[in-house]
Amino acid sequence: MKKTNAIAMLLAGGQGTRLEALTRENAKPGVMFGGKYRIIDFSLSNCFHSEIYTVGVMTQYKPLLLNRYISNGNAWALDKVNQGAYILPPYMREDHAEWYRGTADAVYQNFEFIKMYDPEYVVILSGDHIYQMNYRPMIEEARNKDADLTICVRRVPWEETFRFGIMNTDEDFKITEFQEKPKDAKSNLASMGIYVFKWSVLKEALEKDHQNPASTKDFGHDVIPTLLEEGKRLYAYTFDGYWRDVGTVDSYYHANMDLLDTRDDLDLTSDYLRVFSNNEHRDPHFVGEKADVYNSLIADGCYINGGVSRSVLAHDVVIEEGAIVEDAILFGNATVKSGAVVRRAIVADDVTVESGETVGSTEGKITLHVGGGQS
Amino acid sequence: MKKIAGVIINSSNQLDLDALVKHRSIHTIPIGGKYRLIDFPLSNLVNMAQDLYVGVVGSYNYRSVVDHLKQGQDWNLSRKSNDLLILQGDRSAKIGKVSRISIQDFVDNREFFNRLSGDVEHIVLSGTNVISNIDYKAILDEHETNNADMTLLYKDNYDGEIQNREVRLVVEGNDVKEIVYSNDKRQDGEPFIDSLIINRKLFMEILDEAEKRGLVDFIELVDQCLNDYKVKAYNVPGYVKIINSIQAYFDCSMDLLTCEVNQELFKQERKVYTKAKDNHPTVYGKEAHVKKALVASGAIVNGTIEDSIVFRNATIHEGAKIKNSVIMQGAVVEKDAVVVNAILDKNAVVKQGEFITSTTREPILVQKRS
Repeated sequence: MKKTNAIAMLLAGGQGTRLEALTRENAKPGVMFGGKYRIIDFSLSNCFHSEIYTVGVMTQYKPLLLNRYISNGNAWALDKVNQGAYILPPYMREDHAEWYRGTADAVYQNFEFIKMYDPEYVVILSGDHIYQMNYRPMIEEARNKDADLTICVRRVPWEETFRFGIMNTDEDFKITEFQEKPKDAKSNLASMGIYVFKWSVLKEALEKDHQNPASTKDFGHDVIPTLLEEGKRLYAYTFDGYWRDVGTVDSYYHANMDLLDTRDDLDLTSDYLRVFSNNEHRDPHFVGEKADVYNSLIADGCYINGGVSRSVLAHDVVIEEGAIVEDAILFGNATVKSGAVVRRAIVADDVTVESGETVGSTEGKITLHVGGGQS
Repeated sequence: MKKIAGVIINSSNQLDLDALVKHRSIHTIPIGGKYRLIDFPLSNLVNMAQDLYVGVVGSYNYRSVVDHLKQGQDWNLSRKSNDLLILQGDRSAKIGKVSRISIQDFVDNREFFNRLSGDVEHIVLSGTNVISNIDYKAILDEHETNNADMTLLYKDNYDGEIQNREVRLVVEGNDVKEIVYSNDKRQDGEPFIDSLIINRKLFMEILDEAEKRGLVDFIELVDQCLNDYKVKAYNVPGYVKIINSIQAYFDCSMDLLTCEVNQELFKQERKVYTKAKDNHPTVYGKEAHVKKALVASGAIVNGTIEDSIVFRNATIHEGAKIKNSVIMQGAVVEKDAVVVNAILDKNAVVKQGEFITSTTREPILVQKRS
């Protein structure tokens, strides 16, 4: 097979427990975002824009929806001959079978897949981040600096450094020290969980890590510190665009609301780094006589006859006459009946908010409404 | 499952669609926010059978048809068991023989019909300019129950305008008794909606016969053999609109804004398919005020809209006012412009502060700005 310069390995197995009920039937990367996208669309679209057409998608937790959604990657124009998106679940070997025991282990277990392509570089990505990025300049820089591993970083406020993996670098951005969630950070360059590995280095590092019984099989926790210790050439690559880890209900909510502001670093309407998704056949949405809609994102198939403002509505949502929806995110097929009110809340798939019911409040935590008496 | 061959015919040369077909085929006239006319007949065929061969008779303006349909993947037609073929067409129009259903178009594409496998029992012919969600399965059932040779589709109590070239059927029970033409100066009969089911073998036989006799119009041929064959009629229930003029196009667009018509066409199990696009959800800005509108994804709305259809990737700037209008894909209405009773063609631009207004009886058509 022709040698490919770079392939991507996308981690999409996370359960995302902090997204609570939103990931009850669906892995985190498969959760709806911005009305018509799924979180994983961002990474897959980035791959296309970076001319990386071979993407191994490692799934584990509740993968069915994601598997169906990704198909062969044609929605992201990845389906070139002998390339594409490939779903990689854990599988059985001659003598044993096991789940992916960590991010590093997931990649290790798919060595055979990477070998089929024998790339120069392997780009490790996470399927649960919202950002628009071309990975090409990062790969080029890795080549220019002859880096064994390049880690994408962003500057975070100093007071938040304790939440991240922090990279201390010299003036050439060569990483000198790695601090995992430090109390006394020496830099504010936080890892975004995007790695460009030389395939030869990745192979050796993961084989070694696999042999180490003390390892938790995690890139940040185990592999990177070991490589640093061994004196490998690790570099930081700074990305200063929009980037959010939407791992909690709160961060998920606010990243959606960011779409309602006009901002240059997250623009779904621009052709530059456009986000693709697996489109389904739906009719244009219908706005009725009693409706008032502003400052919102509305997907196809909706029927709106009430007040909607500062909200994100996914496909086929129904807002009846006299209903009020403000500062809310409504998942596909949700219905808000006449006279009901939804404020600062997330309403899950297929849920109906009944007449007279009020979901959410103007203060306090964002309400996650999943219907059936639970919230 | 039954195998069906469907042919979407081309009837552009007898319609009064003016500038809408200047740069495109009749098949690809945009309608309903994200569709093209052909999406309706094509989806009707796709919803009829699992195994389907479809031929689309192109016009001299091929490009937009090929661009829209590609290999038919969005209509489920690019599987190994299904097939979509763009057929050559419109030659008869070039040589000055105007017809409703051109026999020449079938003769020119005889290879398509010859190659149909023996287990294709029926051929469905359908015009491209009829907006309706038609249940062909039910029609085929009735066709078979009646043991008919042909079943012609019509619409009774049709409320739209019938133009010069229209054909009407005089129906008794469910038999077609007579075919009348508008220029016969008769008032009876119900409009034929350019669609019929015919047995394949019979179709091939009468194609030979028509060629021998030098006939131009398939309907004329059917007319001549009403007594030789069992020709049945089927009244299509529900919403039917024949797009035969700018006015009809405009009226149909306004019909789509009524809840009943909208639900009937789009919220059925039988979906209307169209080319998928990677559009963002519709963006409503802080200055948007929208009432009674059909708005497609990819549009950016920051003005006031009432009783209108807004297509994919249209942009309505703040302060703009739009009423009773159709804003096609990529069209831009700049700040403080006013658009009333108008159709803005693809990529048309209404400049800042400009007024485009007309009456509902004569909607104004704003063409693409070059």
